[in-house]
Amino acid sequence: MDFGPILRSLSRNRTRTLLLTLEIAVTLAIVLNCWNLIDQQRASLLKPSGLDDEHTIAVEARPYSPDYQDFEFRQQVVRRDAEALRAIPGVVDATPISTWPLQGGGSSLQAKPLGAPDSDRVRAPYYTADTQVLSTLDLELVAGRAFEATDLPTHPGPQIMNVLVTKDLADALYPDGNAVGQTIDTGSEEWPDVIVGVLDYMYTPYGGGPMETRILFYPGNPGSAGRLRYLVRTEPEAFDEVYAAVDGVMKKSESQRIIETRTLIEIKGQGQVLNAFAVRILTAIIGLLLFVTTLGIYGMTSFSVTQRTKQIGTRRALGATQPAILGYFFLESGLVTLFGTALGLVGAWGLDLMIAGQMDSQRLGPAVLVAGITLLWLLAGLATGLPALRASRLSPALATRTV
Amino acid sequence: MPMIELIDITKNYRTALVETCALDSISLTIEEGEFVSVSGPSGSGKTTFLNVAGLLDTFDEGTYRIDGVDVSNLSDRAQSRIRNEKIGFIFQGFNLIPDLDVFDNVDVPLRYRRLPREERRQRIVRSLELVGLGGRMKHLPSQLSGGQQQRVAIARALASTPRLILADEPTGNLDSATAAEIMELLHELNEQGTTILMVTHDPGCAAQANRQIHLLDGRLIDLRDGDAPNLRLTQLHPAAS
Repeated sequence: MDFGPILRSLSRNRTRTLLLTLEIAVTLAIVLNCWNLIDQQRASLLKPSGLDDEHTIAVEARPYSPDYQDFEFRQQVVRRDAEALRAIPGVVDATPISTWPLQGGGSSLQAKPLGAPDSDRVRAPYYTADTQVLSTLDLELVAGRAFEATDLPTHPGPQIMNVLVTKDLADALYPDGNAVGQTIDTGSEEWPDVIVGVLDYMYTPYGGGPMETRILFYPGNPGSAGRLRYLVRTEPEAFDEVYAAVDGVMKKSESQRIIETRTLIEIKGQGQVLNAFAVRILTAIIGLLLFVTTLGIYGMTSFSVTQRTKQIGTRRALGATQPAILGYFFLESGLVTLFGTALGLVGAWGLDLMIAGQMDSQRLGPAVLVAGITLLWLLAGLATGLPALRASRLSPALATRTV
Repeated sequence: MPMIELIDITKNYRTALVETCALDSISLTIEEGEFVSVSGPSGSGKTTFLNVAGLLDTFDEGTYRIDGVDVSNLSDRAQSRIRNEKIGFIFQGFNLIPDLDVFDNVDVPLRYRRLPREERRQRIVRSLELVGLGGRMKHLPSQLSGGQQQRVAIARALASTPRLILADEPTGNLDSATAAEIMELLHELNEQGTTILMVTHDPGCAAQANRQIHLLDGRLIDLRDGDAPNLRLTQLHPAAS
């Protein structure tokens, strides 16, 4: 093989070789990381939420009465609304809730065992809901107990709260598995929270990372002067009837407010719009980069063939067969791609570290590495093939041509 | 057995509008060990003749044997092998590969023959020493004079130990002193038994060959047969000689 001469030839054309090597390296580094992010986004789009998504209705009330400024009044309305919703035939259960799960964001906090260093803090989305939250969301308790009426706060402002956490959050805070009864700091050491129950599993999209299954529930009858939210889980066969009845029931429960009803599936779809958009953007970036790099490799090989037409003729005159000429250009392009791949892997690793430092993302895995490198090499092969084939078909008579 | 045997070789160049006859029923036999020069004015068909003789180009009609092998219908691979093993080329413009140093340039045909590394090294060193460039192996072509570059080209041809050397205007780009050295070198190779077929427009160089052939309008005159180079066109047809 012509390894030695080709390497020496490439080293004598340093600028061209270096530029293409860098282009391949940058492309590979970005493509691998984009691919990894796409994989994660796709996985999150397909991930089960742990909730009964298909049979849950989201009800939002937007009051315009000044009475809702009063905490006590609001609490009464929320309790009354929840009871009215639960009373609809075909409803499994209903709960007021602070923000919609599956909406692709919400509110989050940073929790740590009380007294632990700040480096032990674990980020988690949180929701506030009443005692019926488990049956409404179809969540399974695996340790401790569910909320009781006595857990609900009786006044606004800071206070020690009993909370429910998912198993993933419990494990992150207490890897030894003794989370129930532990006191955690969610932002104030003076007013810590106590874990009273552990839930099996729940997932809510939150921009990626392990926090999406590390979820915390506060007890309460949430709602602001401008917005009250409820989730209603129905029997599968009663969904449509309940959906139709909700508006009337809410209006009957309390007037002076606008009622809006949606399905949890609709909310989930809206929550995934950004994910889906990110997937499309990242896919476009990958496509564009690969296209430009393929063009670069094609350009280099094509230029190389044009520039060395007489040289190719001479090689043919000296005994090179057509496959030997083809092999020469593939080897030359392969070596540049190899350098670019090696450099690109280092770049990909660095970029991966940087992304991991910015967000709780899954690290680059072997499957993405193999797939990305294979795709790049296939494209490099295609980009080289056409000009190399043209080179191999050049006549040896070019060796004696003087013009 | 003749080294080269061309029988009624015809080569035409065709475009959409014109057909030009570059070689017109040429017949020629060159025995092993001969030093033959082919001369003629521009456009007479010298380069086409060399291309056909060196298997660099195809021909339309006729039969061509090299060392007894009929090469008329050989595959590209078989033709490449004959070029590599039996023929050494020396070009007017030297045709060295600018990115490769002298050693790697001489190595090019040997790599295509897939010779072992050590044997290649020995052949390269030997042939470069033979042309007086043993100390310039790591030089790039651009670091050598024209005469030195042509010596590298000759070393490249010699390294394959060919039985036939085809030289296309080997002194065309050289000053007269260097041209004389190159001609001397070719003579030495010929004395060692290598058949040399040299295309040149330089009458001085042509005269140094043991046998002179003249080409005019694609037709061939073998001066060994007593033809004069200024014969009238009607007398130049091979059939007339």
